[in-house]
Amino acid sequence: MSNLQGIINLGEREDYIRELTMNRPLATVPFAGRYRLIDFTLSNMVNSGIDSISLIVKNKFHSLNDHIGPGKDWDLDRKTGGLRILYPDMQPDSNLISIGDIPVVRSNLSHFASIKKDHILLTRSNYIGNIDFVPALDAHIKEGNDITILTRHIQQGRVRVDLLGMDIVQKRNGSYSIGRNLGNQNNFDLSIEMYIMKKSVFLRIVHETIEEGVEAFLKKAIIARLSDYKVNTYTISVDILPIHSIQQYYNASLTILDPEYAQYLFYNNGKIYTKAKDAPSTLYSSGSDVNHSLIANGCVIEGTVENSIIFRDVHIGRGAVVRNSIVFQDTQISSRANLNYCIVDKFVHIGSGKVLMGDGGLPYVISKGASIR
Amino acid sequence: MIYSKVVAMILAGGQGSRLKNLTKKTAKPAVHFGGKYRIIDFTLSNCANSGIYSVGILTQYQPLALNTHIGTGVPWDLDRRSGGVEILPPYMSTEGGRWYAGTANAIYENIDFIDLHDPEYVLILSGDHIYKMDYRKMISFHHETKADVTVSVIEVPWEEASRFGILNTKDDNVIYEFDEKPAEPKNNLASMGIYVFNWKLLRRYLREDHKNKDSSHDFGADIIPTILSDGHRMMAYRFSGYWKDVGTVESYWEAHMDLLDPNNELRLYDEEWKIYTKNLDVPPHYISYDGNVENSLLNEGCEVYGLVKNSILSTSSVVEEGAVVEDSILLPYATVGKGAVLKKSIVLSRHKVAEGEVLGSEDEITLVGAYDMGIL
Repeated sequence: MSNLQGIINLGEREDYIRELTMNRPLATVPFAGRYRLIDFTLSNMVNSGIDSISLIVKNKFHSLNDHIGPGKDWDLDRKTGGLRILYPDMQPDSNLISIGDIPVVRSNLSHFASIKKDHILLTRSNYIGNIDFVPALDAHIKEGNDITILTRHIQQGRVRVDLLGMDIVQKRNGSYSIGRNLGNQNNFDLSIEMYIMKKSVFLRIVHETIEEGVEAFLKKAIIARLSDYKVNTYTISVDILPIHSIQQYYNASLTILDPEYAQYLFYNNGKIYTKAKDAPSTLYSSGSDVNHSLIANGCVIEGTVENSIIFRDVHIGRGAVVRNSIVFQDTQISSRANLNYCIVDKFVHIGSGKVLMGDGGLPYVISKGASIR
Repeated sequence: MIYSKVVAMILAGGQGSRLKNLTKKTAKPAVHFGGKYRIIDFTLSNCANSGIYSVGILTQYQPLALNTHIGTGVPWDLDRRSGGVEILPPYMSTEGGRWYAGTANAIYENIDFIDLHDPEYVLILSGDHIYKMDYRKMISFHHETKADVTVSVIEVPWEEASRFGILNTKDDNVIYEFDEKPAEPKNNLASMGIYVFNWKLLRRYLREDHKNKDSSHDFGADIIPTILSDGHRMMAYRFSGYWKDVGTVESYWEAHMDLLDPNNELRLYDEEWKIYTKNLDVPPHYISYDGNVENSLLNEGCEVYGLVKNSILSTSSVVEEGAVVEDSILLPYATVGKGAVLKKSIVLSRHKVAEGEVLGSEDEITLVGAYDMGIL
């Protein structure tokens, strides 16, 4: 049993991945053929022995509830601990959703106060990896830190366009600060927005922030107070894929086509759990031609698939060609349709002979339920 | 709802010795099937989809894989406050311990379990057939025809009828005779080993059968003929659709090949009647640059770097570079090494075919691997 309480803060920015987050929070954006983004963080926590997890949610509850339910698939349907979803209070006289995640935290102060663990692990849901949190917690305790910031060390950062605008951790005059990556530094520590904190420190920061009444975001509240505490970093040595934008989403998806990375991502410190869908195996017809692709169950593949990820229950018709694309579940690609550099959301119908092209630098996103006939 | 008065009893204790190495270390109902399932998943899912939530599973032979597979019945939604799924192995009593002596004896020994549910009807099922069936229709038929016993039957080709237990019926589907493997069949309606009994009647006959020293305590051989000769009303319920007894290596292989026909009658892709199984939490399968898959069924977790043709690849099986797998079945976590060639073979789970090995022939089905523990 771990002395760590997991807290996943879903109050994430979705500005750069709007196309996929119209009907769902970033946490439930489908990924890797059968998962949702949050499955990775949830499974990492469970595989690290964390048995009590709180989710701070802001909006778009339907998709989250549908996916997570009581947490059974992650073994989190427990009498003690388990999964707790923290909703914002909806005021009877207003249906406005307030800015920031602090109001949700405020609505659930009693829950945070009742946490029985000595330390908390605060994370986001949009960093993909297979992480063992146990060594990080050990270091946090051994060093006597109030706050341990989990980081990835980046070399040749100037060419990493994909990391622009992301959080970087710096140390000046003995104290840590977190700022924005503007692409000027070549070697830096990227924050993966995961913090291990003493529970008492977390509670104090939350209380002070609410009392001051200025800050609306938990992350900013923590960053602003780093100098008040004993802070250290812990470097995660394995590759973590951040997903804040369509571009990052697309690149991360293609990264998992590398069998070596897939081996790490799906098995390193335990399996990744998700909601079962009970789809049968995938049937390939004699005319199918599939190369360098990840295909989920329940599909019928009659056409050509290359360098792509196909989710569950997709039908790819005879003579259809799908290249460099990601196709979400329950979508139909009819015969002789031709897709290149596309991200096709759920329940889409692509008519026969239709041609849809994006570009590696800007994949074309076809939204949920669209019918192109 | 008359279905709430039904208890289903699944006979899952048999060895299935004709499946050879497949069942050396595991019970036949736990044998892997169709890429992601086990044989018993079909019967269990039929129960769940038919709204029958009180299910007893009678186990005896090599039950470990079966027990771990079924657990508390979560995948079939059979983890219930009242009812649910219960595993019923043989047990000790003041008269000593005894193995189940036959299918009827297995039910006799669990009369208390059935009484606990106080059902109107008992549905006797076998855990080793591949089919989809709405048991509600059969129970309604039983109810409406005021039968004491209903036996589900399927039409088989006349030339094969002598391999089955044949039920001879009058025009109105009333059974008047049971012929076990008749040399000269009078009918082509084969028993599927699925029975609906009025529980009070069956209870009485089970107790009588138990006292009968000459009985083999078998439903087909003893219970059904006795009830019939006593003049009770026994009806034949005609089932049409896919049904396969995968009792031999040949029929097991054939049933797999049936799945490669996109229009096969089993309709695995029908969302209205899903087959449930334990989730193994593995990622989608991967086909490499050089991998090639033709007319095949692949489950999650597989990796294909070679050529796969007319084959079924179960969970997390691997075909390495240059290997050729044709007309074959790879069971979970089986690996076919680099350059190996397989023809018409079944590779048992976790077994590895060595690099360059050439196995199998067109003429017969080759089983690769000494035994299958059945545990994943």
